[in-house]
Amino acid sequence: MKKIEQPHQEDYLILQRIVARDEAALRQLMDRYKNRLMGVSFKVLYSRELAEEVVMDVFVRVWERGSTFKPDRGNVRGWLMQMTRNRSIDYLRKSGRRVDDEAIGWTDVHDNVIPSGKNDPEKSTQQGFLAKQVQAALAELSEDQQRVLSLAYFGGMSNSEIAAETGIPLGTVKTRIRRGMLKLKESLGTLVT
Amino acid sequence: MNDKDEIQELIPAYALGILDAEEAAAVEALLAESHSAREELAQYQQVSDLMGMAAAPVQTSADFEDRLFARIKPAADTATESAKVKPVQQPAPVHQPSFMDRLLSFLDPPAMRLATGLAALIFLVAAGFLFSQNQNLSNQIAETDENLPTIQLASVETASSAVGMMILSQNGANGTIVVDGLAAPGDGQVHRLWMYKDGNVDAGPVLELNPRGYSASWIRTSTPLDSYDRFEVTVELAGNESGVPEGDVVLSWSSDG
Repeated sequence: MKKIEQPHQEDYLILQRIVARDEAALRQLMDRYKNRLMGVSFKVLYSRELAEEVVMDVFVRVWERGSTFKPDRGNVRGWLMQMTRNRSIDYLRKSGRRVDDEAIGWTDVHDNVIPSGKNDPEKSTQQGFLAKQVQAALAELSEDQQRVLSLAYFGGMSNSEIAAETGIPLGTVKTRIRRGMLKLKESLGTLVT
Repeated sequence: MNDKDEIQELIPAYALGILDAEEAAAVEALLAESHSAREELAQYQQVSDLMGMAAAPVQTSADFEDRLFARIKPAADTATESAKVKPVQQPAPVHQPSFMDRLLSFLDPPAMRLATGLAALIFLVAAGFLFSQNQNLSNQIAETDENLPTIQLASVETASSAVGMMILSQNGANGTIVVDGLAAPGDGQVHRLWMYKDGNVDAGPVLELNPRGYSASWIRTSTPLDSYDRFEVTVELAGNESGVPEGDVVLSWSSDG
């Protein structure tokens, strides 16, 4: 069992206040991330109502079990993203629906998208900058790599499910996933330690 | 699948959580023995976490925070709702024949009374024999309880048919978790035990249920089991090795009750 270290990160300090039952801290964390998390969930479920349900579940979980977060395994943002994605995919599977192949590209724009900086200009600017870096890294991938990665990330589809969905040979799917992820890791450089 | 390079190449897909069970097991075996594989996985997990940032932000509805805070204060809400509930008008009582009335009516013929008496006598002799046998068995179980500490897991409302127990070794270091009546997890999901101590959490075994929802799993941990202050069984996505529970709790136990 690893001991929790004290990283000098604002998010982690906010989380510690949440663990101490500080409602203002929960509002602060929501202001930072709820719209980003909604973006992820919306891409998976393509329903604003369901996406809100998922994001609400995530923040309830943070409130109830924030103490289980392990800073030595990643940062708070990544933890929130992972919970949101996993729960969204879980909802998708339970509903028996499949993710919309045409709707989950990495660069689409839809009516619900909001401009960055609405709630916390300083933080949203940081997040906007980070988002642009990730989008630029994804744009460097081939369209084929982008497609299989979007089906994997937003659809939670396995290699074999992607092969069946797209008609691409299984070996090719695996190669595109692997090479796409490798290229992303290289492009994101210092963001990945 | 046993070629190490081939398995290593699956790590990016493992970080995305998209491998099937056999491939995921092969990667987990490699991770258990290879430090470099664990480092590589950590990097790809960061990539996976960052990928979500590419999705454009979406606005929540105006009452999102109000609804959230209503959910995290269920006790207050319940009290308020209870106060709103109107008393139900009780119907006027209706006289119904009691059990004794009906029994005496049934036993009215004398022959019927004699046959019933004999049957009751035979029943009492048989019940006495069975009771003494059961007492012997109960005594044996009680003696076992004295030697092996147990922890009863409580089910949540949404899994009310589930029961669970942990049986610890005499020194409290090791144990087994036994569950029954758990609903089958959804596709791509598993039940997993989590063990909490001083704000940290350790992942326990994945519970492999039979069709009836029964499972008995050995708990392997370097930390003595009796030193944990909380246990939970949750429903998790298969292949999720984040090290922290993310799914819904179905069974739990806490040292503070």
